[in-house]
Amino acid sequence: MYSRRAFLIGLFLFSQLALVSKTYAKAPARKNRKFLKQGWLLQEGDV
Amino acid sequence: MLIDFNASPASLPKNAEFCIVGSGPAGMSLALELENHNRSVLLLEGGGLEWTPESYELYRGDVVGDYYVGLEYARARQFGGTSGHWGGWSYQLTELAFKEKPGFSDAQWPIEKKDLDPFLEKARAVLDIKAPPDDVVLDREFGIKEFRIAYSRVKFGQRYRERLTSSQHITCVTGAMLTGLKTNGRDIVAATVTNFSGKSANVTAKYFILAMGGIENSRMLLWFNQQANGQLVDSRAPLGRYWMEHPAYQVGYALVDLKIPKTEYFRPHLLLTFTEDVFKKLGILECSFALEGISSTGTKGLLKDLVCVAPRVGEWAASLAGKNIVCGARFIVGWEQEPLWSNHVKLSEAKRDRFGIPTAEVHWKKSDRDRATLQKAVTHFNEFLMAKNHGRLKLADWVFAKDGYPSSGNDGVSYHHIGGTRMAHSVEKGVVDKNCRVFGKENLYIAGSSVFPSGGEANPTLSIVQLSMRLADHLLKA
Repeated sequence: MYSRRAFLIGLFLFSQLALVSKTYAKAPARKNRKFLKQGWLLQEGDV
Repeated sequence: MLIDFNASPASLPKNAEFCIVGSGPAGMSLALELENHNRSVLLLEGGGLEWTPESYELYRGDVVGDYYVGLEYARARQFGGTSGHWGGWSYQLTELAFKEKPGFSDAQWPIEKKDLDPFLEKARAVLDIKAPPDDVVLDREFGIKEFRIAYSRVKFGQRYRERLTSSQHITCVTGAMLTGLKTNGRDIVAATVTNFSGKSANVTAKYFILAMGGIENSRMLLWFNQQANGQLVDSRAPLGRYWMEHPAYQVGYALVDLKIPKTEYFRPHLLLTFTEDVFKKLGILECSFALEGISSTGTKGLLKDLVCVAPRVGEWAASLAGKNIVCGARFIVGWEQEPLWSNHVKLSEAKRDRFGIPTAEVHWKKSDRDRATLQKAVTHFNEFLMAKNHGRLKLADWVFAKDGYPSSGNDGVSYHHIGGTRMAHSVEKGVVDKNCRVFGKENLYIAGSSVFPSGGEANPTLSIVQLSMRLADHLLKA
């Protein structure tokens, strides 16, 4: 019984982690160094 | 009743309880409100019922300093005033606009927003607008706020012509140029009115209200005061000083995943500003941003450009574009100008109009703090876009340069003429008191944005009409 609950909790956590990873993989990284390139205001990770 | 002073100079009434000079939003809304209380009003308009070249010539003047459009284009000298060609954007000044701002000691008003609020519904009725939806805070961390506005379609000359024609209490006289104000030191005892043929007549009234516009109020008071050997306006008053605009520039483009709402009369645009806390934290003047949607072709062009320059973020934006959730937009920034003594309206020493009155010379320059407001505001907005992954900005080269602004077309020009006869608690700081009465004169008042001590970030017309409603209330109780 406990192992089934642990499996379900683990599965839930894993699915949330995957969702978050997917979201952040698509979005540009949040980093601080900012710079101008050909008029565009960019940050590290954009290029 | 409507009278043309050029066609029938003898028909000019010689006396009225209220003599209002100028039939633009400030003067006409005041006249309409006084009429609602069955009071007798003489409304003088220097121009004709429609735009005419000879009237337009009278608005010629010079601007010394930063780039500005010709003063004859920047206002309309006709029945209904500059509302004949306004955009109709209507929203209130914020509470912050009236407050003292740290470091900007000359920006404080002698009244608060709550003093104008009771006149909001009447002003909206005059402009035929409804209350816009409430502001929405888009992001608390960065203090980004979306605000909505109302769009008035009221051109005063067209909307109220029939009402004035049949009015029992308002006599509106067109072609009637105010060319003199006589004072006994305490009161205005008569106004001189002249038509285009040079025929003059005097008018007496219990109260005189100047509502001639954000440059003419200063110019004519400077001239009348000079003619009266300084007996009209206290020499301590900053007459003509602290003249302001709302500098506004397209500073670049934005690619964003923010929803840009459609509007009834204009291109889709998203209007944004900061919360009061952010303005205080950044130590800048009030400002606002307009993200004005561009065509899908324009958006694709921006995306291609971004993909070339910054492939990773470009791909991210392109992936959103496929789902129609990224928009290309013109990025426009407007702000309230720093109120400065050095920015002023003065009488030209070389040029005079056809009535022999010196033309206006507007000395106008944006300050380092104006530039800092623009740069800090853009920087903070960019921080928000980047931190929250809402998009990227492409800016024009001049934005973060030390000085220099674009100088063609409507660059930097909002056609909002503010200050010159500002209101204040004391004559050393202003020309009129909190009730718009000229300091030291019992029966001379000023209406319009020339009384604003600072510009705030709102288009001024709704506040102008609110102030006229408040002035009517004051005059009716006087």
